[in-house]
Amino acid sequence: MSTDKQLVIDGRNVTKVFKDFWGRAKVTAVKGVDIAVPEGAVFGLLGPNGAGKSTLMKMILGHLYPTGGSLTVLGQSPRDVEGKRRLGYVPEREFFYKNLTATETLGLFGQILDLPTPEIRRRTEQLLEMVGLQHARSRLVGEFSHGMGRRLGLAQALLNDPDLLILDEPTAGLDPVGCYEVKQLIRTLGRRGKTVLMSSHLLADVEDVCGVIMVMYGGQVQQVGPVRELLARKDEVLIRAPAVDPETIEKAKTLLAGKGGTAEVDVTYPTRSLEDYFLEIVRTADEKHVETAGARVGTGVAEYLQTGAEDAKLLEQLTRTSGPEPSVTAEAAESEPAEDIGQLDALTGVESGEEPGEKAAPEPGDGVDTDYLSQLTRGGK
Amino acid sequence: MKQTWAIAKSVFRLLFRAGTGWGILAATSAVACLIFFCSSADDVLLAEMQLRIRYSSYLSAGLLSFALLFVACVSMRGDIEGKQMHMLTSYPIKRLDIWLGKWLGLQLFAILGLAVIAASVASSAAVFHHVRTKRTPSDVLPPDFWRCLYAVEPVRESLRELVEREYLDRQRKAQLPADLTDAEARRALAREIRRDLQLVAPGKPRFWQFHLGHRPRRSDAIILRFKFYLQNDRQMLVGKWFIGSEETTVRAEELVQAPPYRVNALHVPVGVVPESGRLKAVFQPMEDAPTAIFPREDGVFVLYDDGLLIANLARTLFIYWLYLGVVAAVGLTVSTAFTFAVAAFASVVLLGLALASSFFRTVTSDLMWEEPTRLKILATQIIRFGTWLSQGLRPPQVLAQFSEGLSVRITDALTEWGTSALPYALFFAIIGIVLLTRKELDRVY
Repeated sequence: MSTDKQLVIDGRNVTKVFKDFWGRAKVTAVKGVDIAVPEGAVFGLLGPNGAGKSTLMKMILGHLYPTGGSLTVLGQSPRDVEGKRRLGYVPEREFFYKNLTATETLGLFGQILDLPTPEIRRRTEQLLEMVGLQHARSRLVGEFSHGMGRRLGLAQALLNDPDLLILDEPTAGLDPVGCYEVKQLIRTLGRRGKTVLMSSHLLADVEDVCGVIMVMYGGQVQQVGPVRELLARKDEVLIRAPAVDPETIEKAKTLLAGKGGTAEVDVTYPTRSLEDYFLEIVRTADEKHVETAGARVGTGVAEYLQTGAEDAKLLEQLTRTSGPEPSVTAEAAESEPAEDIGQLDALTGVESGEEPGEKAAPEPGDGVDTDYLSQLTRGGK
Repeated sequence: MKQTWAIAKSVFRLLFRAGTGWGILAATSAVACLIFFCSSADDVLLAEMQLRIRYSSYLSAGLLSFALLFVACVSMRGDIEGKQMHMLTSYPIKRLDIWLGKWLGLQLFAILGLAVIAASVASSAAVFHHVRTKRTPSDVLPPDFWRCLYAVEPVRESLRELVEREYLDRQRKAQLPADLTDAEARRALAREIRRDLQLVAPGKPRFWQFHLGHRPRRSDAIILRFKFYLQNDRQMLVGKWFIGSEETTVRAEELVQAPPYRVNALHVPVGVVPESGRLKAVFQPMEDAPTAIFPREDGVFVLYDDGLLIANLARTLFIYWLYLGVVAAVGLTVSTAFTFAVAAFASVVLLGLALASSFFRTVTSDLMWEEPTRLKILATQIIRFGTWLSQGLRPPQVLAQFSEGLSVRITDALTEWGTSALPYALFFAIIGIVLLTRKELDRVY
């Protein structure tokens, strides 16, 4: 976690005690939690049901008031109205007026945000396209499926291009396309320096996009730190390489077995992730204009949300067109012995002009190194 | 303001999208038409057309008040429990603006509701008039139906002050009955003074003074309207009215032979009214006339032309719209504080107590008759507390005035009704806004 950056959410010893009608303490939902979310971080909040993460989120939103400790959001009290001008919120379920259409819903929130009418129209158009609801813009929200509601929830949260986006279970109820798009969006926002606080039960999603996570249990913080550090396994190394002949694999195994002592060395052919496979099918169907009453594939991130990032479009292309993201861990890169690099390069046919440990793998949410990404997608520098 | 307006528009729009708005408008319109054609009158106290207008507008406006109260509860509580309030408060909008926006949205709906009532009553009246004039040659419209009259009550001292003065006077003279408590003595005095003020004995003149403010300019006549009761309702009261001013010698005289229990009217030339508008009306009954009772509150009035009916309708609707604003404020506040079921029940009870306050006053006096039991005393106190709590929700008497063809003046209505209702609404609004502002929106963890 970066400490030199300004803290967007700063909570010290935050406590929330729910009381009964007579004012007696009933449940202590959050106990002395310290939370520090720096600017530009994609921060994940994890915990089982009843861990206190929703209560903490509601306190951050100003829906609940802490009974102890101090909490500031964007430098102001969570109850401060002006602070909410820079905040976007996607609740765990869509709490919209069921008798308003998608356009009217975004129009209402746009007016509350005091945006000029043409700007509301422009952003509404872009956001509905982005979340794949352009064809359902005149349908009542009550007629939406759960997933479509989630997409609209995401759209409304981005109306003001927020500096802090709070997502409560953002991918719950979404189809794989929606999940992928939400994660892409979170990554894009993270690259733009926006702060994202998300809670999710889908741990893979959190792992995919969050740079820092906080694990809560019993209303208290159990663990907090960068995902890579918390998940690192120092006793194994993963090497990814282009396809080579079986003889080379055997040589590599022999080499690694010699270095690894008695530990078993396994070399297999990697498989594509199911998510990628599924997305490809949907994209193909969409390109063939197969009719659907539900949400469609989004058109990428809304234009106004991309402004400000110099390389946003390039990165967008890179992250969209590439296959599975490189899964070389930082530890793997850092722990490669210098004398073996050349031998491995010779085996896999990849040239490397870098010093060992010079390039760490990109940390999701902490920005993507374009050179490194290009190198990986092109298969060499 | 833009945010408040956005909320107001959404409240208004949602009412119709959900069908509630259409349902309420259809129901009020149906009630207005149905009551109009179901009521009938004998033209004794009120002309038939006026009475039909009164009943239909009374009941449909009452229905609209209840509907608005219910809608206010649904709008506020529905948003809190449906968590739409969570979404709204995640945006940079003050909860004060949300509350005001909801109130404004309900007031927009109230405008539409009142317009529908007015249109329903007017179209019913037009149909009724058309059918009746086709059937019988006589016109069902009272004379000057399309104009309204401004009613001036006689100048009268407060009964409480009169009682207090008399009490002190008798106390000084040691004339107070020894077997009565202070309160009982005062009550007995009040009855006695009231009887004296209303009684017109044979051969003894009684006068009433009026302050019109200025000499009426719209017509060449003013109307003296009077109503009295006799022990024998088949008798007639014969006497002479003298109408003039102490400032001038111009005076109008008219010998009348009037029946009791109905409204009698005398047309008097406007020339008898001085520029100051101070007028004195004296009634001199004949020596052999029966003793009559002229009610203190509505026995004698002076009326003069005050413009067109349509302008009067606009003023009436405006005042009633303000009243619906009070109703909406109460509904929003009660639903902010309580769950939907409790809020709907409490607010409907409050409005019911307010609308039927005179009925409940009678109930409490009946309960306290002779020596009441403790249970009856408790029940009386509860009803009294309820009527006290709901006093600001009592509707203004503008619909009654309008249906009688009497002019509704905004300043008068605000003075008479607004002085109790508007602070009441303000109090409720402040409570509601404070509650909403301080409220934690979720108790689920």
